Amino acid sequence: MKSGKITKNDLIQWLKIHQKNFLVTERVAHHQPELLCDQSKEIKNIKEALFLPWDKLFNYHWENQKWNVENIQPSASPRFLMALPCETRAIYEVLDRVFLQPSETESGYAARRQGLKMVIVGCVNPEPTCFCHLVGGNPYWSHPDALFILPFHDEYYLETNLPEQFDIMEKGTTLNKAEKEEIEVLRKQMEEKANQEKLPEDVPQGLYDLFEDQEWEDLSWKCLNCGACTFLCPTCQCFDMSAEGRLKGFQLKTWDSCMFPKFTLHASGHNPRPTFKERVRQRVLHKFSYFPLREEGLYGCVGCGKCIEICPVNWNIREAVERMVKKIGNRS
Amino acid sequence: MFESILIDLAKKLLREKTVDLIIGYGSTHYPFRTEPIVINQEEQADALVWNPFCGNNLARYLKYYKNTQHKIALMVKGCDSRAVQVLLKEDQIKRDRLYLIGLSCPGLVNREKLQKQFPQASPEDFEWKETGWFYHGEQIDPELFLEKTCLRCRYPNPPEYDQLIGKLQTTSPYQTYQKDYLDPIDNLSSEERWDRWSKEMRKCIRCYACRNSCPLCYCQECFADSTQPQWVSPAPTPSDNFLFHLVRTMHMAGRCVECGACERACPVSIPIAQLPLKVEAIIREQFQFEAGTDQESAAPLLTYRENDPGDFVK
Repeated sequence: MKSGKITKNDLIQWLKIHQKNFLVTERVAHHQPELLCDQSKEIKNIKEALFLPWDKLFNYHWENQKWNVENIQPSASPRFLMALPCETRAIYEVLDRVFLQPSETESGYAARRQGLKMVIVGCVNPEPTCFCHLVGGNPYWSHPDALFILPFHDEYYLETNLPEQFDIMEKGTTLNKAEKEEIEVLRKQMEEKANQEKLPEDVPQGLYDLFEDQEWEDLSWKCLNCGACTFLCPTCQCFDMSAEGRLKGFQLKTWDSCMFPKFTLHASGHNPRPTFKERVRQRVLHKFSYFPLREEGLYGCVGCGKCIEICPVNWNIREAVERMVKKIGNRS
Repeated sequence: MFESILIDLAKKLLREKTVDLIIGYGSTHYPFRTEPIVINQEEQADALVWNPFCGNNLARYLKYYKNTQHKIALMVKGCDSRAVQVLLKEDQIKRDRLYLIGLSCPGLVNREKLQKQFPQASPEDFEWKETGWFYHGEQIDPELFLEKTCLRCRYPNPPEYDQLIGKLQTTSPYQTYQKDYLDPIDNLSSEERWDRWSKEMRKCIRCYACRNSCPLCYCQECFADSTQPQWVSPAPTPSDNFLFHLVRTMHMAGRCVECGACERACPVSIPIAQLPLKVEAIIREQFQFEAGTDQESAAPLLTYRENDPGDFVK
């Protein structure tokens, strides 16, 4: 791991050089507006960089008594993506696992992912709605393949395992022993706090066992079943396919939401999730039970709190999970 | 002060079995926010709150009870009461199943505006009295904080209610502030207006929070969800977003009660209420009609008169 520090001016200079290729999430732009350059692109939600709100997969037309299909090659240019630790975890620990499975790789996602260099900005200003520490994250979480930056004594701390990808490392100066220790202590404190508060290990199975619980009904009453939470969630990855055009058209892939009544509607007319209760339960259990049970305990939620922040009726996934967790084995 | 009257009333209604359940506002863990709650036990009534952050239009929840026998008490501000009247007129629920707890409302407070002005403030720093809003004992100008849709409110008092909480407002924000949310747009040229809305429509992610928070969007199948036939593509392109919002606006014509719930629900801050508000402004001027203000007059788009005005048809 290579680490160092850099002055604010030098960091901004570097950002300016690459600004045309920089995607910056709304959260970073909001917390640290100085990191947003004129020509860098602000995105609402980190997943937009890889998993497009809508995408054309192939064109088709009927001609000479047969279907002619023309594939659309996904294209992507190398880019930088600057985001908070929670948002970045959504890519490394959730979306990559879903879309880059060796057996089923999603080609568009893979193409965009390949050239993407991640810049993680340590979170110094958590929102009241945040809860990354409950789901295995912490405000200084980083990934060795990314560039991690953190405001540090009027300067910025830098760290990465891939210095060849981030030429900014050449400009960095090395930390002295005291500074190194200071960073380590800060990190340790964050990690320990997060470890203490993390949801207990039996939560995924425990919630699974509460599938039929009456409480889901109460929890779901106020939900409007709009898709605001799922569309702004960095980890929600469900999509829908539709053919746009009868004899000539294209295959369309769009974001979909388990909150929508038609999400699971079968062609027969049967809907296995007919009411609010089933749909709300699905959103909670997919993130807090099915995903961790399948993916070595990793939660499908990164605790960024965006869904809580924007919910029109203040439906609170953290509160819902904590309420259900209390019921596991009748914890008091 | 208002809350204790409200809670006493709620307890009485449940104790005497005047109603089976009460749909109201409850507090949340986060400051300056409330949530819709439903209660059916007397002891749950203490959870009810009434403050300037009660932004949801609770008439929206009546559709859940359309086919039940429950007698329902509903907390209604002026706009919510208007929504109930439209629902009654459209035969979505019967009046004798409703008990309307009327709330005299000086206007809702916009959380972002408030937090910008008082970044460190907590709800305890404020006091809401009949004479106005106070921060540490000092009166503050509500105009600075009111929701844009509330600044033009003409009905701070519910036109219909069974019991009123607080005193009737003697003036409306519309009279007091003389500001219309629509003025800045009306003053734009049509090209500027097109550019502005194109920009707003690009922001839309089509989560349908606006539609789903609306008390009067109760279609069993929304045209936007229909796949056979498909009227609008599921892709959130600017043109499909326009189509969705404009068709929804036309469906609301003569029915919108100007509550602004759609705009408050929008997670990407599109000033979406302006579309139906503009249509209602035209209807007010051309047909001298305001949705939900009485039980008798027919909605302009549901009736025909030979002398109907047509100046707005271009």
